[in-house]
Amino acid sequence: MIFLGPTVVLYFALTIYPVLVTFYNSLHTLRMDLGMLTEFVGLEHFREILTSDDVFWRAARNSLTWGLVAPVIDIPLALMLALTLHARVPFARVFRTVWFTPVLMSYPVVGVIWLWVYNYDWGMANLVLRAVGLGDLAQAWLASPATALPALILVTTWMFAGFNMVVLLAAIHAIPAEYLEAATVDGAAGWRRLLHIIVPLLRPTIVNLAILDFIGKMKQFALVWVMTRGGPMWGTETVATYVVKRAFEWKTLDLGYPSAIAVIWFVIIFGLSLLLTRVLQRREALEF
Amino acid sequence: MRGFIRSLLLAASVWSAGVGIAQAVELQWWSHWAIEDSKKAVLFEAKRRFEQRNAGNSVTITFYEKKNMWPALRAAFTAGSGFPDVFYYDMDVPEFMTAGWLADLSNGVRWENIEPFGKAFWTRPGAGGKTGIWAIPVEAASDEIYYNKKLFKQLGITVPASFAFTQDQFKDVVGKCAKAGYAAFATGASDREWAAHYIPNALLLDTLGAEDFRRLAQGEISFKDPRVVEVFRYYKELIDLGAYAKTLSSMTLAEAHRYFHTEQKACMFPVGSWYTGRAFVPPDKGGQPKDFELGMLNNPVMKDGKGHGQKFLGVAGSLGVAAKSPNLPLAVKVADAFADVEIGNMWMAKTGVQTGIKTDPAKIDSPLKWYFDEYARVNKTTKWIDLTAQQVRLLMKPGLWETYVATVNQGLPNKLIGPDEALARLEEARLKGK
Repeated sequence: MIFLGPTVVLYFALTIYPVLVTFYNSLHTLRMDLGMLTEFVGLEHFREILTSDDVFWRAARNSLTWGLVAPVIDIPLALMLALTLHARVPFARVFRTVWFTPVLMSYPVVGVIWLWVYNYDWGMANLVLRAVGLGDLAQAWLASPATALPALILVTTWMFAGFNMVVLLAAIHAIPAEYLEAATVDGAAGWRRLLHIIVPLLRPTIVNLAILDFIGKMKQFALVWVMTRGGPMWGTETVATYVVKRAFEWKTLDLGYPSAIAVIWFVIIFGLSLLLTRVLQRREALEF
Repeated sequence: MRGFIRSLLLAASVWSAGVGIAQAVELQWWSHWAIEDSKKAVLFEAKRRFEQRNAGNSVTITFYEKKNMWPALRAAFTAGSGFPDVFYYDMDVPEFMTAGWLADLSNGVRWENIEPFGKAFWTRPGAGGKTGIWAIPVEAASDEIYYNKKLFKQLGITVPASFAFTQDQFKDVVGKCAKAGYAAFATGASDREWAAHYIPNALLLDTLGAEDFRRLAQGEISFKDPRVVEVFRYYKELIDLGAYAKTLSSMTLAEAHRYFHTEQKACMFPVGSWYTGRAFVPPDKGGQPKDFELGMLNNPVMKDGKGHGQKFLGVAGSLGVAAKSPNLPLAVKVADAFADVEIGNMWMAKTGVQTGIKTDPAKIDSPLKWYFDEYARVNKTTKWIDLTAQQVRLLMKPGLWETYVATVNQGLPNKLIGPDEALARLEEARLKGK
């Protein structure tokens, strides 16, 4: 108990207490007109958010899109990279380092790099398009809601493919060689071996990665803040950026309304994570 | 005996040193203008003067880009710790006054050295409705439309004697620029939420006049008002002609300056008259090239407009003091160091930007005299309206301002929405805003 003490105190101070304060704030509002008084408003914030806040719903849709689309792209890509390395292609060590490096960079650095990539005049994306004769497709990628969110999703894919790859590579290495050899002897090679042997054996790892990826994207803030600040026209607004704007940029100074958004979003992420775990995870565990 | 005296002297010196250490205060000052050397020079001079007059105390200035400074300040003030004693302040965050985070500077500042308009600007209701004077008006600026004289000449554009194009002429100018491959306006909206507001604000001011413009911002006039609709539709025509660069949404304010005067890819630059603070430094520090020919325009004259000859002018970058600074009397003295005609003169001479501090023009020896003359010539008959693009936020309800930014700073200039959709969204926000 003595050893646990400091950790428990820190956990309560830095995690439990802020969560409780957020729940408390969500039921109150700040009245600047009454000399910064806090007033109890019950579920009023929740009613307003759910019934008449268009920006919240837009932000929720963007976050959900990101959360659902990213794992679908990230994990197959990471699996492909992991299999490439597993096959011991030439320069595998170099590739592993290069692919893993982006995850070591902070969001602001990545954001600035990709702002350059997406620059209309001299960004690499448009330079490549112009060089291959597709200049007509060159555009201001972050200036339209139609392209801005996909452009940001691509950035996180670039950033986290390496991390997912390393985890999957470790899981592939953990598959007993006899399984793969037996499959080969039985005539399962190439795609069949991948789809019927490797992927099922990797399922627990893939499910965990997918859930982590989903939760990470649902909380996305820093990259959006650096690259688009939620614009244009709320096209990349996420729930996290909207909460920060309402809490720290609106001149109301009210933490009640943004806290209510945070509470709603906490419940949604928690619920969806549970649901995903149930749907994706098989009850019978594979043992090897 | 000698040993006793020696011990006594040693003890006395240690005590006095201890007292000295206890009294010495290092004040913290957070400031915007991280990349504006001419303004920093004035700030350092004020700091030097304070330290000279208050021996033993010192000031440490930490420079920020203000976009990043506001959230840090808000977090520190909300937490009640970690905030600086003195800080850059302007109307981007009017809520700081009502939250009670700013010290009332009514006493302790030599207000006789501050222009009455500057003092009046910061005399407002604060926390609990109690009126105070909340900041030193260091910088004042008008909303201007600068232009590239050489480019205008090259494109055969002649500026009228009044420096104001008519509505049709202005459209023609935008069209000529775009046709020649230039953006009409060098606007970069990626790091300023009001960067693309200058032109629509100017058009609305000229059409509605100051009083109705204010009422529109305050939500007292509908965005469906036919005059407003007319302005937005006209503005959309300018946008469709190619008024803005495709890099609008990714270009920063600093990059927009270079886009205008160094790369010379745009004919005009609608921006605050604090343009000079960034532009009038050596070219290797981001300033305009020596041979760049800078011109100034007045707002376009709209048909049947009520605001002809009017322009926005307001107090901009200022200096506030934290109400809960543990070193409040000294912090007020730092602010007071700016209430000095010599500092006002230095500000004008170095930056070329107006100031709310009193100046003595006879004693301003500046290489920027040509600019002051040009400014005076263009604005000879201007009727100044106490407001700027940045300060419109002050008038708008929360929610309406955010929609104004989304539609006017992003949606319209990026051609994502048309004027009717923009106005519908604004009207909805006007009716809904808190």
